Amino acid sequence: MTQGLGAEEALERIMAAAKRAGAQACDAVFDESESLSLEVFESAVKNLERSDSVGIGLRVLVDGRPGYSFTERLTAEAVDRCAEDAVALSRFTDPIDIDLPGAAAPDAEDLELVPPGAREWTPDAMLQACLEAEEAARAADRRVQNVPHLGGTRSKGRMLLANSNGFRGVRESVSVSFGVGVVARESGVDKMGWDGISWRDSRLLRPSDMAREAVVRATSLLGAAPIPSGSIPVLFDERVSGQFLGIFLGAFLADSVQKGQSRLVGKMGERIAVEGFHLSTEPRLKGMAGSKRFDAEGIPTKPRRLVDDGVLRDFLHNLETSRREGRAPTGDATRGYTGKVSAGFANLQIDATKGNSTNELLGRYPRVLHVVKLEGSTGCNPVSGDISIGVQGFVVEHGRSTPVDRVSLSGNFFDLLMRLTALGDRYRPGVHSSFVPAVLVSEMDLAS
Amino acid sequence: MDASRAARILDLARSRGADFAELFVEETRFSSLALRDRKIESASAGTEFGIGARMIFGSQVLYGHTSREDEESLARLVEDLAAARPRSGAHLDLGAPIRGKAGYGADLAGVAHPHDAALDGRLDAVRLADQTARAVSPKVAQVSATVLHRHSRIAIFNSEGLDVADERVWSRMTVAVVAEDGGRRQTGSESPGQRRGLEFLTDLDVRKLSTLAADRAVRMLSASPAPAGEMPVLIGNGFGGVIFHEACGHPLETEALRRKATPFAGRIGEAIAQPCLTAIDDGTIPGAWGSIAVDDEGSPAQRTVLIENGVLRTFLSDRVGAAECGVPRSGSARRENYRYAPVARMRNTFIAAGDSAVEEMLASMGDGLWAVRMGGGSVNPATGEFNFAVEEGYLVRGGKVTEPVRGATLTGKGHEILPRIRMVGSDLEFAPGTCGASSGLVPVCVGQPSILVDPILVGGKA
Repeated sequence: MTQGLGAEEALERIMAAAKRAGAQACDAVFDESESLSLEVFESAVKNLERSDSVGIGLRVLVDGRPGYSFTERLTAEAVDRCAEDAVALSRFTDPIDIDLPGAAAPDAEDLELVPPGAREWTPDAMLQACLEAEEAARAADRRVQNVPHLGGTRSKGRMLLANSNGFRGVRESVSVSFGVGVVARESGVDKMGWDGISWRDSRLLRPSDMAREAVVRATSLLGAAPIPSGSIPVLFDERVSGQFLGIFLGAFLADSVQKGQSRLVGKMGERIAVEGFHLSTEPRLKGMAGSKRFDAEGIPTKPRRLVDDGVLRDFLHNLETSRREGRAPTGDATRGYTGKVSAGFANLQIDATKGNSTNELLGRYPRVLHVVKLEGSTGCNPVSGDISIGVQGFVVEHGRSTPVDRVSLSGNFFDLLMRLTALGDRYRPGVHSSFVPAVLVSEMDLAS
Repeated sequence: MDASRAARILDLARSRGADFAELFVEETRFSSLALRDRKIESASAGTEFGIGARMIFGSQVLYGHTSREDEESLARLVEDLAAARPRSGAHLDLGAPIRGKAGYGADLAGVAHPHDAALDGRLDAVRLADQTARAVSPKVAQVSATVLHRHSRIAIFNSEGLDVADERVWSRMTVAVVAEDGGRRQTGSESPGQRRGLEFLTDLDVRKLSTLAADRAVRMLSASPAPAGEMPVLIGNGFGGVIFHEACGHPLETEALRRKATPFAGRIGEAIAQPCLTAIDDGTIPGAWGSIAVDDEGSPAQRTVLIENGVLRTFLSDRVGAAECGVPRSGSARRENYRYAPVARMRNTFIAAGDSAVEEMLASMGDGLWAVRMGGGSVNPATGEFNFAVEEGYLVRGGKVTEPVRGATLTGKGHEILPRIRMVGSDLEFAPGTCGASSGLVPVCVGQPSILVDPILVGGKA
């Protein structure tokens, strides 16, 4: 019956149908993923979830006009209808000027997204990991009140990209992740500590160590008190610095710049950050979450510095934005099967500085706010750069560390890049796509 | 899927030891039209399709989904899930069955075919939004306008004999404006939405919402940094309800209660707020963005009074949550789509209208902040800690509204802030939003009249 088309079959069929319906060019992305996750609460399995997802997304060009469609139903009829929808919709859009790439030159680099020899993480092994972690958390400190978040996930995915010029590309990856969230209580006040990580191989997970780390993160915040408002030097720990800076990095999309939605308009070649600040996109890191040999339009990737020693040198492009500037494609395009083509960092990297340990950085000022947790980013405006964000962490005065409560920081991201006085010497561990060391800023406004 | 195939799959699940089994079948058509930079930048259509199978063994919930609808694939899904189940967990009495055969979904006027963009007003609406916003001020640097339409058909079958179907239609328009002046950039946006077809657009005052968004972006260019510290804050109506949603609504869901991760555990019947405060979660408001005819495990929608005159009355529950936590069911089981198991989620959550006028509240507050329009925010339900951005704010001095301020955030803990809601206005309004939690992103309304909170911590420039 309706078993559905396989990946290659679906891609060839949808492109043929698009051509029949009148598309002169098209590209299509096929995604399939499988995951299994298990959650434990009070030593019992609460949830076991198995996900089996598949979808195909199409972009057509009719006289340069783009049309988009997708379907998760992969019957022949649904795929044909999807192609007809995209062609029909193209008549409403304004034309863009792009040339899709042809068949790619062989690129044999192994990015290590599927480690050899990794065995599948079984549900029983996940349960065992959770039980160990819960026991370790509860034994670590009598103030541990609850372990509300505890679980593991294994997943594998495959993405195929094809276009009407003959490009065909495949990317496969596997990963496992584990997370534990602990609530500690003292004098009626609750604090949560969390530790979570992803790897390619479950043998690298250390559930009990992570649970103990989560407990330390929770208990170290107990007894937190407000501190006087004022301006203060701030160290964003490497646990949060990537998440924090990441809020504003849409400013580096060429599309935002070309359309007046970035504060970096007109700043090319100018100093936007302090000396020693290097920002790059790194698609070729081994085994990392954003690593890829080709981008979402089939362009080969290569590492590129966008900010070199504090000076703005480049933006992130897809075919449309690079053509608009009359330059060669850069390979930064991104796309999921349900969405349109955009651009983004593959792996984002801000270079670390050797020798700058956390302790060394905390000692650079007599009094520093050490931020270890962000309370949500919605007070930060990626366009204006305005920052207003609740944080948790410690005031460190001459080596003595006191937890602080109900503290929020304000400032502007673009000012902050010029006030950045040092970068830490390491990145947070695990498989992810944001490599940002600890960031020390000479002053921010603190409200409490 | 026909009922007999569903019954065979459900029987298979029961034969593998499940106390309860359920199938959720969904096909959703999306379409969108987006304008930016004066151009129609994208037109897209899509089909989401899949079947979710839920099995409950004791207190373990097993969930899996697939986009393949043939019987063999579904049987394999059920077998794989049952086989993967680690043997542990206690028995849970799920309570009264959810039974019956029903077809819901009367709100089908104006269902769009994605090809009809030119005919049904979408093109005109986004172009009008663009022209209107650009006419507001030469400082308007960029305008984006999007119309989204979503049409979902679902069916739910369970091992107790439930067989229900529903059709659900949502339409939404978003206008986002960037204003620029001397290198400074500010944004303003509006995004109304309803549980209606695209006839929603004909009743929409596009000029008004586009002007509102553009005005706000331009006005915030001249705003000075917000002050910092504890002070009285008058939180505006409509989207201001996001604070209650995040800081009190989420901790009142059984998903939080079943993990003992809520400060409201064990407090039913206690006064947790001033007597002026009544809060309701209502899935039955006709046409409202967060309304549902039937929830995602087959229970008809309800209106649930959460807090009545300051006293905590109940939690929002799904079936498992209600059984585990010993609270009544509230018909609140929701999910983004077939990929998620349903859990208790908010629908249209609001603070009921009181009797204070905005002028009266301003006059009584002395020096403080008027947070006319809130941005988004976040909360940690386990500890109650929240953080919200003020999108449009004004300083209040001696009860008088003075200059605009930017960059303010409101910070605190939900259960500590509730009793500090001292006055409740009469100007109740609703605003649509998208709420993210363990069962994905679901459409909800937040709502409230203007409320005076005294004091609350404002983060701004020290």
